[in-house]
Amino acid sequence: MKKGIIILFCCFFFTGCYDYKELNNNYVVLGIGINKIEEGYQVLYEMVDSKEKESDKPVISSETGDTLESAFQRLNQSLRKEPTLSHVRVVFFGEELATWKMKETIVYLFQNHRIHNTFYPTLIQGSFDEFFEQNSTYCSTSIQEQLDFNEQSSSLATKQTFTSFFNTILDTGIDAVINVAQKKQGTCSLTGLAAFSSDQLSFYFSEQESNLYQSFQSLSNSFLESVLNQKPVLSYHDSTIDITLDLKDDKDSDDLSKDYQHFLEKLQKKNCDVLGIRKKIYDLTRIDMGPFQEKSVHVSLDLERGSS
Amino acid sequence: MKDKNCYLALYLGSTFFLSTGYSTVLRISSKDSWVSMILGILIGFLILFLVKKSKVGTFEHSWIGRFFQICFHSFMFLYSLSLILHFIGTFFLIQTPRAFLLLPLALLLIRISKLHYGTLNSLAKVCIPILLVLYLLIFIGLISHVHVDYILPVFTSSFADIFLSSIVFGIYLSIPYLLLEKHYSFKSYFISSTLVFIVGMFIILVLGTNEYALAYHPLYSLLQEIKVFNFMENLENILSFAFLIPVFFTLFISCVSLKKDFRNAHGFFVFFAFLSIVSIFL
Repeated sequence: MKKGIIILFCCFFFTGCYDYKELNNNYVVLGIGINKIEEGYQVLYEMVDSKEKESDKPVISSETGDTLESAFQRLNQSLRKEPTLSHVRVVFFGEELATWKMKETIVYLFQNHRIHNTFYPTLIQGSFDEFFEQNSTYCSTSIQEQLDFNEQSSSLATKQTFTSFFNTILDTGIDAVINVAQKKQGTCSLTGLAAFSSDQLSFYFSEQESNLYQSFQSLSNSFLESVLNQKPVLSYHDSTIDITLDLKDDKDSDDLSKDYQHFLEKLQKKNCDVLGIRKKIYDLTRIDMGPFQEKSVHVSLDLERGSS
Repeated sequence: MKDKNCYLALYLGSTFFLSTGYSTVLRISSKDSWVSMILGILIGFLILFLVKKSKVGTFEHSWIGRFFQICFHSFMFLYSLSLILHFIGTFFLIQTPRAFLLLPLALLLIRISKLHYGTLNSLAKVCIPILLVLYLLIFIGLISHVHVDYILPVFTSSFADIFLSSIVFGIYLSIPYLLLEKHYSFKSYFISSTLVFIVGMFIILVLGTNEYALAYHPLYSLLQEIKVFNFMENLENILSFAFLIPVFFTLFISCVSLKKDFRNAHGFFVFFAFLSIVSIFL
């Protein structure tokens, strides 16, 4: 009787071993690519096969499906080893998907508990298939390293994780930006930023625009501080937004003022509020300006020359 | 057991916050949930203070009192058991059938039902260092992911919404304490509710308050953000025990209380089997 009870207990308490995962029997997925195609979605994995001798070469596999879930399921079933998704570094979105709409995809990724939300979202400029073709190195690791360690690319890239991107896309008071990757001379590299309007891709920033965006970001971080000091960077009177920039460099301020003006006008023309002006106005005045399409807002720029 | 030595009370506050607790409060008062959580702690205290001062205990011996007691204990038992089964079935043993997960739990509960509150209290005392280490790891791991602008601007929700969610929060916090009747100190309540409040603040500051972020186990999504030294991952499976252990204690206390409610052992086991089977389908 006692032996029977011990065996019964062993049956129950050793259940944890029945679905153990051996590393050699798994693919470790480092990058996921998602794109929109005519019939539905295309999903791609960039994986490490630890058992392969040439493990510095990525294993790439892709599959399509009517829905995102079915594409993921079909891809998982088509692999000869089970994929581990908890080490995903970068998720690449195709241009077609970003131009169509992103909301469904990002909500799916956020709610998928097998994928950790600490990856970097990145947009592929150009052909999705060509980006992953004949890769001798890992694109996902390369992009991650550029974001984590390369300070030089900081003006052309924003170090935002998926959760932050997800919240910006769903926030009605601000539009999102995303890092853009391209394949240059056989290597994957970050080339700049792209702006969204709601959950659709609006346009790609030029290098100069990326720099202006980054400088405005650092400026707007001190926005609340300025409000508290009674020196508003951004104010709202009679449907006019006044942005006051305190520039320290006298020589270039005229050129810079024109650049800022052009940049703001372009954003307004594209209905794209990546600077979060609606959100800041709401923070300041509690006036909900609604979406850009419904109200026209005049943007004026007043530059104050600082003493150097 | 003296009220001030009741270690079980340190766990009960977070019972409802493994699943629906935070989502419900954050859906009602959104960015201002931190205000409603503070108010909720005070409302919870008021509820417990009134219950302690009232003469609820005198009804225990009447048949109505006994009936309500069994109903309450059954509810807590069903809630905590189904929550544990759901959580384990969703995140740890995904392909294992619920009935199979129930078997080891049922065996454990039958053993637990033979224990007294004093033994459970000693178990609770032993688990306190584990719980503190888990909470400390959660706080350290999440501090770098905080976005203060997720709670700005303040007071965007109406006062009615803030008040409503604070009542909900207060009820969620205080209800599990009724399992201990009056044998707990308010100090334990405040420690437990402060920990719940801090984790709630992290949910808002890290995940934001949009509906999609809160739709699917916000606590687990929050813990998924923690990554130590860029290589230690899947820590959420360990850290989620900070919230799973309290649910286990609620289950144990409700099981022992149910055993006490039934005067004969056969009646209890039949009812226990019935509740266990029901919990699979919840």
